[in-house]
Amino acid sequence: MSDRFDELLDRALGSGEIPSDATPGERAELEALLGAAGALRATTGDLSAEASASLPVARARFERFVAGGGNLASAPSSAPNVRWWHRRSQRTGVGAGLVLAAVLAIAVIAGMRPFARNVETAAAVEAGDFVQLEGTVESTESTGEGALIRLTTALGEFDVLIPADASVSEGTEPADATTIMPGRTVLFAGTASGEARVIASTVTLSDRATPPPDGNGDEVSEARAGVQGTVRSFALADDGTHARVLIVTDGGERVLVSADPSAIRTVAAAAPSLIGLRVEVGERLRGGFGIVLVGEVDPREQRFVTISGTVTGVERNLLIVATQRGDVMVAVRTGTRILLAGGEEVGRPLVVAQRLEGRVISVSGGLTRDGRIAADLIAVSGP
Amino acid sequence: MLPASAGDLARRAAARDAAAWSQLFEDHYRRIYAFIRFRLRGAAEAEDIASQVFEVAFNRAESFDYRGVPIEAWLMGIARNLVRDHVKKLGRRGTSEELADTMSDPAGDATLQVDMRRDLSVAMRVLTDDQQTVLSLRFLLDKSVSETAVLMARSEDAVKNLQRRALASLRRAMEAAERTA
Repeated sequence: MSDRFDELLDRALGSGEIPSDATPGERAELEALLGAAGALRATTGDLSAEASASLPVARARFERFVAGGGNLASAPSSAPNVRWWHRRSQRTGVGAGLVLAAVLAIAVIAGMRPFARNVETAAAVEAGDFVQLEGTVESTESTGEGALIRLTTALGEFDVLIPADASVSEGTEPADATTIMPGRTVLFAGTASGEARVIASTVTLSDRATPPPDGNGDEVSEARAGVQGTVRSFALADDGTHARVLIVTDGGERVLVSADPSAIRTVAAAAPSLIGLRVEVGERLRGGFGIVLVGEVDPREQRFVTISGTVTGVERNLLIVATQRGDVMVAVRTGTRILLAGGEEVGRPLVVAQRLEGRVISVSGGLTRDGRIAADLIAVSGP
Repeated sequence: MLPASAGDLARRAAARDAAAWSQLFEDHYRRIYAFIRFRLRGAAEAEDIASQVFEVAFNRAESFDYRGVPIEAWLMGIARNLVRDHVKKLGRRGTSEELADTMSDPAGDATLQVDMRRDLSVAMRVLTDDQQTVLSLRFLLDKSVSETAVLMARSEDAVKNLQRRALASLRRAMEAAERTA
């Protein structure tokens, strides 16, 4: 091939037609290459829409960064990354004391800069994590990509983008994101897209008051077996290898627990909406501390839509689940987290879903307007 | 030589003028995001890294030489480096193989996010960094050959040659992916 063919290709790409001076051999090759280019171009619309949807949250992050003078919030790729270190330390078995030291170090640093409100966020939530969290709406903004709300939560302020395809409900009825007003209590599930930012998949509005701010401010304590408290935030890593739970004790102590994923699976199988559950920190297991439910779970306290039952059929991404009240259709999304024994396949929901027939599952998610449950979290019982 | 307005914007950006950076963000975020997203597994990762591009750029504002170099080329260069580092990390963590499996046909339900075709996403992984870059710029960001040449600091002839080889590699890889699907 030569410069001539490069020129022919460039003309063909510009016009969409094979140049008339191409030889039969060149024509065949050009058609094949135009096909490959066409496949690429076909993705541009989706990418553009996705980029626009991501813009409001990213803009808010960058504005905070610039307002803070830059420098601290973003680690250059070659520099140590606190969150990455935090993850590695868990995997390599570094003791909880070191993890606590890292958390406290972050707290000290954050206390010297305008990002203090996110002190726990750096340790409790990482980009890509699945998150369940509750907060009070401070402000709302309507954007072309969806509603952008700012919440005060147990982890500080969060920006939550509610795209058009998110499930929004109030009680058992679907709701519109535009009805979310400052002062409302919101429980949401979604994927963290960065520090203190989440793209919501499910939002539940409530009139109940958000628990008052914790008395100990940004301080967090080291997890230890035997501590009991109420779950205030839950984050599950995108690869399912670890989970973090913030619990608050009756005395107001805030305890950040690096939890064993298998223990989380057991809890979620009984109560997949974790926020508000009363739990006890168990002994340290292979993947972190154990977490066990305290007392019976009141179904009325399961504040996302939840169901439990046996999967009787799988049609593409839809699960047919036989529950005590009849069959329910559950839609598995690309962001759905499926907790299996072993947990390592949590990041492949659409693949894993194909193997769920006959399994007993518990599902947390939101209602779609056609009566399905759009799943955020699925805990699979048994081995 | 850059237009006077671009030069002025670059000077203000180098001085870390907040309004200048706001404009730069609005002007370039979507393209930077698309450029990154094309190479990564998930939207959340792409957003995080796209955000990091601007944060790193802001931190290094003084080092940007605006004489003759478009800001977009500078941002793209940062994006390429961050993506490269990120992919290396994924490789060390052993998760990059999951890329193909998470790309699934979205036709089953409207609640699914839209993703790239599976054969395309698999095929892209066999391309070199330069090949991915030229395809991203030419066919996703709709840059002309001359614009691509500036952004990649190459001659136009080199870009034309690179795009041909990239498209040929992509076609072969897509065919292989289809055969194994």
